[in-house]
Amino acid sequence: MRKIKLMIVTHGLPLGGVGRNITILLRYLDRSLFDVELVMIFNREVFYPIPLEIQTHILERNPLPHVDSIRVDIPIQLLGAREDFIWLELTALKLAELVHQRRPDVVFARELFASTLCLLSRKYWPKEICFVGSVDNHASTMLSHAPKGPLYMFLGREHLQKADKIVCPSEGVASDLMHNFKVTQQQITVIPYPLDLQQIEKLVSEPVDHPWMAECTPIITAAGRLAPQKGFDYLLRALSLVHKQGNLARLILLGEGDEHQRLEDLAAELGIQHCIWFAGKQKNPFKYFARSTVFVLSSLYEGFGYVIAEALACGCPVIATDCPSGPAEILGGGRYGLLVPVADARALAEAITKVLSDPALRQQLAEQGRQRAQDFEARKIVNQYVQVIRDTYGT
Amino acid sequence: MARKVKMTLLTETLHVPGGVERFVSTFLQHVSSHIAVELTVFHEGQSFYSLPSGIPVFVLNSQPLPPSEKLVVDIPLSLLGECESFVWLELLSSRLTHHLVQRQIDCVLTTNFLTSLVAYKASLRHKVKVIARLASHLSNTLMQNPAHREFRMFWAPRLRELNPIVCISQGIADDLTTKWGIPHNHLHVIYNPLDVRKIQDLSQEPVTHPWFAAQVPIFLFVGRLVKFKGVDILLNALKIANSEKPARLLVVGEGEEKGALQELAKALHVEDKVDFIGATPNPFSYMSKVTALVLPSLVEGLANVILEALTCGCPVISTDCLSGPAEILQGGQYGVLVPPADEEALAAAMLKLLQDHELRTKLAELGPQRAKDFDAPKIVKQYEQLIMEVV
Repeated sequence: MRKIKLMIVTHGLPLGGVGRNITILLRYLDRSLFDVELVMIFNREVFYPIPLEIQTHILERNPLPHVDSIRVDIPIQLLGAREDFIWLELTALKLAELVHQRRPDVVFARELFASTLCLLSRKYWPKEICFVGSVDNHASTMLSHAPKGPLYMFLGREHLQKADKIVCPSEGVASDLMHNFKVTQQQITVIPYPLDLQQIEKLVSEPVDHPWMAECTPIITAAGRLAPQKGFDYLLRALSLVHKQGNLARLILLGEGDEHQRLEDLAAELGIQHCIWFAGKQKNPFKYFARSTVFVLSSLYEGFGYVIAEALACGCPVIATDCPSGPAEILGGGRYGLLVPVADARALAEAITKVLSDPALRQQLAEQGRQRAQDFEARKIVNQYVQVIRDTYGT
Repeated sequence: MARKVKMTLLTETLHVPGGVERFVSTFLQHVSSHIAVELTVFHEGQSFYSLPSGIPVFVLNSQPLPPSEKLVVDIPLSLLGECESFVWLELLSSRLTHHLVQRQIDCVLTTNFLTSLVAYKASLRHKVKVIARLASHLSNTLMQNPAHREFRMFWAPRLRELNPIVCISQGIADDLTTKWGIPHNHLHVIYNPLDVRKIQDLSQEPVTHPWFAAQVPIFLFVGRLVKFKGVDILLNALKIANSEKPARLLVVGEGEEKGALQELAKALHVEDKVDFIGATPNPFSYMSKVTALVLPSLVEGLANVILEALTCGCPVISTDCLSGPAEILQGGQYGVLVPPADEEALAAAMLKLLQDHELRTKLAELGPQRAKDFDAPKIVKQYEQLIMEVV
C-alpha cells in the first residue's frame, strides 16, 4: 500500500497539552504508513522538539498569494471583526497555496482555530484532499470567555460541519460539538490524549534540586498556563483554608501566564506567599508530579485535562474539578481520583485535607492511577488516530 | 406607464452648507410632481438648507440590516491597506439595496462621486436605473489626497460602467473622457440649478455688520474653510492690496482651517481687516452690498457661489481652476479670472476692481443676465428629461 501523505496543521507548538499531544503524535506515527509534514500557522516560540525528518512550514512567513483580489464574507452582526475575516481569508489563501504545492492526501488540523482556518481554506483545495479536524476544548465554554469568541463561535457553527472527521479528546467535547456546532455523531471520533509512558518514566527519575524536596511538609502540585481558565485563584484560597486547619502544605505551580502577578498578589493577601513556588515553564514537569503528595487541577473548564493523565502516570494522587468535559472521564467518575465542584475553594480544601491526612487513600490512588494511565499509552492512542486518518482517506 | 416614476435622490449629508446640499435643496423645490421623489441620505443630520415639506427622507446608516445579511467584500490584494473603504462601500450599498427594494424605487439620482459608487454597487444587486451626478473634478480631487489611493486605482475606473453620468461642468466631463476613459456618449453636462428669484429676494435683506456703515470697500469670500478653497492665498493678496488701497475682507463659512487662517491673518498683520463671521443661510444679503466676491479656490467642480454672486449683481474675481469658473464667467466676459495660487495676480485683480468703477458697474449688470441661464426651472427640466429617457 502506498504511503499516505499527511499534513498536520497547528497554530504552533507552545508549551501546553496540545503541543505535547502533537509531539507524541509526530514521534509515534508509523513512517512506513505516513509521510508527515507539519504546518505551523504562526511564527512563534516552538517549545517542543520536532523530529528532524519532519518537514515544517511556517505559514506566517510565506508571502501573500498571487491573486488580484480576495473575496471576504462578513456577516453583518460580526462587522466589528472585519479585520479578522480579512486576515483569515488571506491566511486561508496562503494555506491553499501550500496545499496545492505539497498535495497531501489528508490534512489533519489540530485544535479549533487551525481546523476553522483549514475549513475556510478548503474551498481553494483540490477536491480529493480529505480533511480531519480536531477540537480539544469544551468550545462553547471556552469561546464564551474569549474576546474573539463570537467570531469563532460563528465560524465554528458555519464550517465544522464540513469536516470529513473531527477528533476530540472526550465525550464532553463531542457532545458540545453536536449540540452547539451542528456536527453529527458520525463525524466525531473521541480519542483521548496519548501518554509516552516510557519517556515519562525516564523523566520522572531526573533529580529535582529544590530544598522543599528534602523536607517532609506535604507538597501540592498544579500545572497550567497562569490564566483565568485554570482557576488557580480557587486553589490558592483552598490552600489558605488548608493552612487554617493546621496543615502547612506547600504548593508548586508550574507554568507562566498573564495572571502571574495577580496570583502572587493574592498569595500575599492570603499570607501564604512563602508556601508557594511559582516554578515557571518547565521542560520536565513529571519529576515534580512524581515527588508531590497530591496533584490538583482547579480548572473552570477543560477539553481533556492532559495533566491529570500525566500525574496519574507519575503515580501522583489527583484531585480535579468536575468541569464540563475531561476530568471525570479520565478519573472514571471519581474512581481514579477525587472530583470536586468547579469554582469551590471550600470543597477543594476539604478534598486536599482528606488526601493529605490519609496515607492509605494516597497509596490506593497512586496504584490505581498508574494502571489507569496504561489506557492512554501512546502506541495504543496513536493507533486510533491512524485508524481515523486511514478510514477518512479510504472512504 | 400606470404609476409615477419613483426616484430617490442619494446624498451623503444634509447638515453641511455645501454645493451638493444646495443642489439637493434647489432640485427638490423645483422638481415636477410627475416624478415621485424621495431623499436618501447616508448620515443623520438636520438639513442646513430648507427642504420642501412632504418629501420622504430616509437615513441609510440608521437603518438596520437583517442579521442574516452577509457582506461579500472583494478586496484587491494591492489595496489591502485600504480595505476599510471596501467594507464600508459594501455595507452602504447593501443598505441601499434593501432600501430600494423596500421602497420600489425605479431610479436613483446620485449627487457626487461616493454616492455614485454606492448606487453603482447597489445596481449590481438589484435592477435599478442609476443617473450618476459628478460634482467635482475627479482627477484633481483624487490626486490631491494620497489617502484616496483605492478610489483612484480601483473605484474611479468603475465609473465607466455607469451610464448616464451628469457632470455639473464641461471641465469635469473633459477630465472624465481624457483621463478616465469614460465614453463621450455617457456624459451629459447639466449645470447646477439656481433659484434666481429666491436669491434675489434674499439679497435685499439688510445686514448688520458695522463695516457696511463705513465707506470702505469690502471683499467677500463665501465657502467652507478647507485647504482647497485657497483662503490663505486670499489673505496674502489682501495684504498686498492694502499696501496700495484700503480694503477689507468678510469671510463667510466654517471649516477645519478656520483657526489656522485666523493665525495667518495675525501673522500678516491684516487681522483688523478680516472678519470671520461664520456660516449663514443668507450670504446673498452680503453679496448685494460688497465690492466683489473673491473665489481663490485651487479646485472647483462648478462653483455655485459664483452663480449666486452673479445673481445678486456682485462682481466676481475667481481663480481659473480646471473646471467651473471659466465656464460660468465665459472665459472672463462675466467676471475677472486669475491664475490659481497666485497672490500677486489676485491682489492686482482686486486693486483693478477697486479702481475701475466702470468695470464694476458693467459686471454688476451682466451678472444677473448670465445667471438666468442657470435658472432652476430650466435646469431641473433637463434632469427630468434625462430621468424620463432612462426609465
